[in-house]
Amino acid sequence: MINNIWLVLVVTGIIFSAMCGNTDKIFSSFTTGAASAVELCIGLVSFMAIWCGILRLAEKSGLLKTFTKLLYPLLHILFPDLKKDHKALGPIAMNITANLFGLGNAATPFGIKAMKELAETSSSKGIANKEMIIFLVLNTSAVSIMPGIVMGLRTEAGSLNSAEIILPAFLSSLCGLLASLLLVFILEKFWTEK
Amino acid sequence: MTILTRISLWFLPCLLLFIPIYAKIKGVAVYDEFLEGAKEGIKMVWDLLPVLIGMLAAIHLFASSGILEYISTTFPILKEWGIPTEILPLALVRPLSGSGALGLTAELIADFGPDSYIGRFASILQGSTETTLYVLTVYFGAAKIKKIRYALIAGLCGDIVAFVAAYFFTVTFFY
Repeated sequence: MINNIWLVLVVTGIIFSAMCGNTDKIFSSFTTGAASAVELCIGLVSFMAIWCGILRLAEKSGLLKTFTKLLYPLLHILFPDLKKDHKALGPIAMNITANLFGLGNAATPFGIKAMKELAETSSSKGIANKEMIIFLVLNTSAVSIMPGIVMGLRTEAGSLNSAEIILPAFLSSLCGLLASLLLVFILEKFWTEK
Repeated sequence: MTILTRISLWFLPCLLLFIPIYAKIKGVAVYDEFLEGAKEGIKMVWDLLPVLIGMLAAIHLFASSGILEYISTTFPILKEWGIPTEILPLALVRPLSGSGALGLTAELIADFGPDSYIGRFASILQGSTETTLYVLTVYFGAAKIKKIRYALIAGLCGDIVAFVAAYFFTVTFFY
């Protein structure tokens, strides 16, 4: 997927530049883009170092674990059909916690584990069931109270208040999640597989 | 919305105060662990560097080719709704590619400024949804799911709603 997107960007970029008479700028804009990436990373490295350092303290002190426990009541609302001791619940809670704290990379291993557990207890192999899709949309909407990397980008660009986007971003993703969940509950009733 | 702005201004400093003190109480070697975490953070950016170089080069080429001006003159309706054309590529790429979207967000924030309308809109959009197609591929791939049923529809629908909500909240919060 990413390969095709990249190719489309480059090819349409070159073709349009040529059509608009910007042929002289093609190569220079390509290299300026690359140069701006290097500058960006230099600025970003200090922010991410501090950010991940603090999060590591949250993890080591057990703060993230405490948070995970608080999520259990929520899980019973989201997954009413899962038994209380279902093996997937632990990794699901860890996955949601990691997402909430903007740790996309840390969320993925827990997510994979949870999805595998859900698949193992499913009666129909190879077919996504309701729980799996609910868990999936939890991750595709990735509700976050700390979008670390975005704040890093903003800080690096000299924002006066890089955290001001947290609440609107949180509310937006909550809207996306609710829409997805609503659709899951509706489609689950009407969807028939050929 | 000034109260909210004030809360968000205090949010990070409070976190920065609370977490190390709590960790200290719990007996964590705060500075050593902080450095370990910092190492992970640096590695994250290091891994991100080639991705951003490749993506920003392509995006820069794309954006300066004149295609965005072409789109904005072809679909003037978007401007009327207050949706800037500059944001469109981000909205389209967001569900498809995480690195592509991150590159676009970085570019928009750098070009228009982080506290501009477009800068805020892009930040909120980037922070409000995930790479739906990537998540679906990885998770269902790992669980060996062949029939995804309505999963993609539900995911993409959420992305569309999140986009509209991002626009709505950008306007209500800041303008």
